[in-house]
Amino acid sequence: MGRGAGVLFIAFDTEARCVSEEAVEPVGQPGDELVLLVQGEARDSYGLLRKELGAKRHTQMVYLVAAAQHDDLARVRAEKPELWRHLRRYNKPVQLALAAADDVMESSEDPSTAAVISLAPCQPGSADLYSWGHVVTSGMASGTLGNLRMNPTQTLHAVDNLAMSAFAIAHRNHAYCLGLGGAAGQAWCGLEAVQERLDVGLEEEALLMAGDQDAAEDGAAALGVALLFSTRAKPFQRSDRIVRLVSISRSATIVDVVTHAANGLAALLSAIAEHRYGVMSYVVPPAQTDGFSTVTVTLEIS
Amino acid sequence: MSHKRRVVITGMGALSALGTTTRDLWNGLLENRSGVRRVQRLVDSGITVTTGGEVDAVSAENLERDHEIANRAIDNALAESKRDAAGCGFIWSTGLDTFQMRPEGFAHRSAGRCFSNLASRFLAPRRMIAAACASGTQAVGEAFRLIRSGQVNACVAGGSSVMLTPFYLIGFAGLQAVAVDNGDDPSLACRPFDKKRKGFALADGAGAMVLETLESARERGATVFAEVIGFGVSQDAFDLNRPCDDGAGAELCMRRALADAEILPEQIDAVNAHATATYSGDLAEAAALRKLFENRWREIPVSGSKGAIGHAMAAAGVLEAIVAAQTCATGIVPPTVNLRHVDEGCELDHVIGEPRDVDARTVLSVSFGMGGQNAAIILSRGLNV
Repeated sequence: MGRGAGVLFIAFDTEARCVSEEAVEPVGQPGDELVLLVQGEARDSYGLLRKELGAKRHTQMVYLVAAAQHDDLARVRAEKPELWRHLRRYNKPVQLALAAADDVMESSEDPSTAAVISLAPCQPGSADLYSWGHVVTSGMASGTLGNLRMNPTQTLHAVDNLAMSAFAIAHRNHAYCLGLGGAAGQAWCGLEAVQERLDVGLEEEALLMAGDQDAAEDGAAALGVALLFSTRAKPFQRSDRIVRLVSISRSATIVDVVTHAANGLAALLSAIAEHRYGVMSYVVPPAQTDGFSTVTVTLEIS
Repeated sequence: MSHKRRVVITGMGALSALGTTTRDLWNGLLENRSGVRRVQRLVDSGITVTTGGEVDAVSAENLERDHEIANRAIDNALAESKRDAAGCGFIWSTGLDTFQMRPEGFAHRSAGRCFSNLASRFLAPRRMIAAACASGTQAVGEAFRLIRSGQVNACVAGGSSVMLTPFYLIGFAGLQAVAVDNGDDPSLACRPFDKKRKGFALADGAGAMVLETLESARERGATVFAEVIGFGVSQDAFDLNRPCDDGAGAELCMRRALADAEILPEQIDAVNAHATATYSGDLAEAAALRKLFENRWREIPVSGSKGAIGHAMAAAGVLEAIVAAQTCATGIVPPTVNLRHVDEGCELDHVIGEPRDVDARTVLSVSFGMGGQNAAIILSRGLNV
């Protein structure tokens, strides 16, 4: 019934509507088919798990097929000089998000038709842009604003949907696009949007990308992350693991947050890397949510 | 037989250069009047662009201006709908960060933080849309999509923008997108599709809509202004600063909205155009509409609102959707304020000088963002609403 010789048993608590503690240390081997035990009865895992978690009208499975992260522009410049020629005008969060997207799209069946969901940075702009802002302030004080001109490249650094537009141009992508703004926890809205699009078969692939920086000043740390999802079953990162996105659920809470568009997705990828196989219920660290919800991302890794 | 849930608009709020209510906006348009004017604080700053669509209701000195403008529109929409925020999702764009120029320096306000403050009283989903000038339209479209698919029963959707500052005006002037002063009457600054167009007038503003299922609107006895029946988005994938000449990206999002609504182009009665009054933008939009309507393009009334209220960026699409909803409700298409002599290449069935009562029941409203994001929604007076 599965790819592997063995069977991996997972227990599901129907009252608590979650995977039970028994799932933490599952028996079986990587590559085994997941089997869900509900009140002692074996069921098909994926569809049932999603149904039990309250998902609606699912017709497609959603697989995470590739992910990439970049935090070093010098490396991008050295390793991908052609890509860098396209990126050099942009600000750092956009450059790093696009570099990560370029990596994952190598696993895409057709980059021109993938849905594109892009997170704007919570710390937008660039050192150049903020310097220019101070020039405007000085100009106001001295009455010389009339002579000021803005470098169009700096104008680009203010644009919130720049990564999405640049990606579309590079890949001739005319497909569904959703730019999400630089507010706390929008990464999980992006993940929900991926599921909404792929579940009902509107697209076969979806790119989720984000870039952000700790501050707009030169030298501040920055990170770009990209994840490629598909409705076709493919191993994650061409490894022996298959990672399926099952659900994203929320429950109300109020917590303090740290606003960063990319860190939350990077932490999710770290958790996936550490979780060898089995059902994974990833509770997003409160600081990486929108401050109003506890977010749980459920995946199956086999 | 479609089993999709029907989605209707039951409340609207608008703050624009024409006033602080949707009635102000609608009446100003019907009177062919522009609210764009010379803004004294811009004159005082010494920049070459001093006209804009100013919202008077909230002082420019108010550091909470971004939040205040948005909240007023939201509260007005909720009050009209008689709904509580705690029962609605929130799909909103707060646009770009706000940079208010002050004697002691520029005060930077994060658009994301403004969104989070606004979102705190709503249910999930709370999504901040970032699609440049298409944001407001996409916010309404995404809310429609989420309600129709059953993920939420009601949403407040829309956008707000506080960008009428030297910081952004100088930036847009550098892109040759805004009309610079040349001694003309400032109310004539923005002239969509006109031979004398020079770009848009930047504006502040906010627009909000309450969307919910037709079923819940009926149960509550709510007034229905219009039904949302279709939504489409696309990317130009052409250039960061200008649209493709033939408007292919714009046409694609309109066709997707039509397909989503399961109607044909000939079922559209009127268009609320993006109509920024930029040279290339208007040409591309007119080309896209002519291709969409084929040999009927001379028969579909087209109107744009930016000549009257300026370009309120993240709020523009929803303010225009509010106008489209009023058109559905009344059948009247308002004129494109400041359009007098249609430019070569911009030929359409423009509504000029005075409103036209054509009993319009189904209206296409479109927005095209810098960078090439396009969004279209279709509103209808609806059957059996």
